[in-house]
Amino acid sequence: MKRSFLLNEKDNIAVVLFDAVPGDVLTFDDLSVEVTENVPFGHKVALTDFQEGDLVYKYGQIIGRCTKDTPKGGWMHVHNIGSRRGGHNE
Amino acid sequence: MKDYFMGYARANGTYGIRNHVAVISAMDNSNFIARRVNAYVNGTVVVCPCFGRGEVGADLQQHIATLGGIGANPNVFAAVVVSMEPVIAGQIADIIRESGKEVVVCSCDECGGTIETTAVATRYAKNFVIKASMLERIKVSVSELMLGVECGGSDAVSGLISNPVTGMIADKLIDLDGRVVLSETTEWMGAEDSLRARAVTPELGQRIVDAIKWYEDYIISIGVDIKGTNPAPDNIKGGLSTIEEKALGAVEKGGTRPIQDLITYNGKVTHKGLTLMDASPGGVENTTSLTSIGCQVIIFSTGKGNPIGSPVTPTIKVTGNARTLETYGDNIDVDISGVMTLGTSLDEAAAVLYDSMIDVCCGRLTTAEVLGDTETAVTRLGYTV
Repeated sequence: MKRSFLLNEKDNIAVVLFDAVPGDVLTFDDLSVEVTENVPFGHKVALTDFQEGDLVYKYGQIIGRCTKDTPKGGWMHVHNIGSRRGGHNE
Repeated sequence: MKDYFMGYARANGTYGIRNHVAVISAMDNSNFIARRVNAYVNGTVVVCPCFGRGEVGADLQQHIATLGGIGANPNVFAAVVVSMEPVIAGQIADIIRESGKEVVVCSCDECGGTIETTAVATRYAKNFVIKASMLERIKVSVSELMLGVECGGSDAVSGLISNPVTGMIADKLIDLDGRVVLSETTEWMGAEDSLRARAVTPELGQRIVDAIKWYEDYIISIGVDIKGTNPAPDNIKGGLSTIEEKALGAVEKGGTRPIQDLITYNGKVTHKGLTLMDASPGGVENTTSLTSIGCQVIIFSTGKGNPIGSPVTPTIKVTGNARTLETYGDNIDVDISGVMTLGTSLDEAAAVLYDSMIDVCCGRLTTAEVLGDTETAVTRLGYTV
């Protein structure tokens, strides 16, 4: 049973289909990431150390911009990803 | 894999998957009559809009064309249009009549109040239902199908499982010479590159991008943050962070084939293959528009669950989220959560969904039809005057 999804090689987040807790390890081929905080079912885990302003990739495409520094293994969602559309192009 | 379904032949050369007698209210001021007739006469479906009275210009024309289009849908055998006054109802009926169907108008002005109108409309509806019951299904190629794809109650699983699997059905139907319509323009925002690349001409690609930009400009012009509306709070809870993320998952349900055309709300689908329609992403608004342009069947991909269906076009709910089967299972028609829990392949899930779609086209009822979880909403363009 596949529980975490890295959808494209360009992606810097992965989606978990379980309620991840600190210490859980996500493994994708040669990449291994330890989850550092609770990440709910269906939500995203940082696969890299994000700096504010970094672009966030899912499906190999840009889904927004990081708005708050977040370490690898952290939870990526509305608190640290901002849309670049609808007037949020900065 | 079946390449045919058992459908109903219509006078204008189209084929229905249902043989409805539709009781259509011309405006909100006669909805109660339509509901009464529907409750009285077994075998009818009811179409009740909000608004109508006092609409002007393009807004009024869209109201009339949408209700007329619903009555003209191949799934309708005949229609009874009920109304307060007969003029707008007559214009709706004209559209239905042009499709070769029997249609009558019953108005309070002509019948004399709601009790008499209910009685007259009931009598017509009863006779239509008996007549409809004598029509037999015949074998029809799936190339005669027009499939609408919709997603609602989206979560992260939608973009991973049910939307791509729905897209595989879209591709399959197109390969069998059928038609597919993808709408919900706002939910293309962020997916412009892939949509533009699939357009059959650069001009069409630009029109698609321009259509998306119209909604983006509108949001900016009113100074509202799109987040919280799209993605909605339930989408956000389900893991979707931005409109771009939601859109990139949403367009998966349109498959991968070339985009032949972009039509307006209530526009005419003139090409085989994939057509985009510029229509609102609200579930009821969108299923209303897909019904109005003549889709006989809708596949409605849902993540965390969404109950809505079209009264005229069977709306198949499919989810890949195993948790939704536990929390919302009563409203799900097709379970492809094995992709998540059992390691089922997307191809295997697509085979299940395709067979279910053919079953529904042959007469298997959907949950929304059985429970009556159906509604109609015509998109407004202006103010009432």
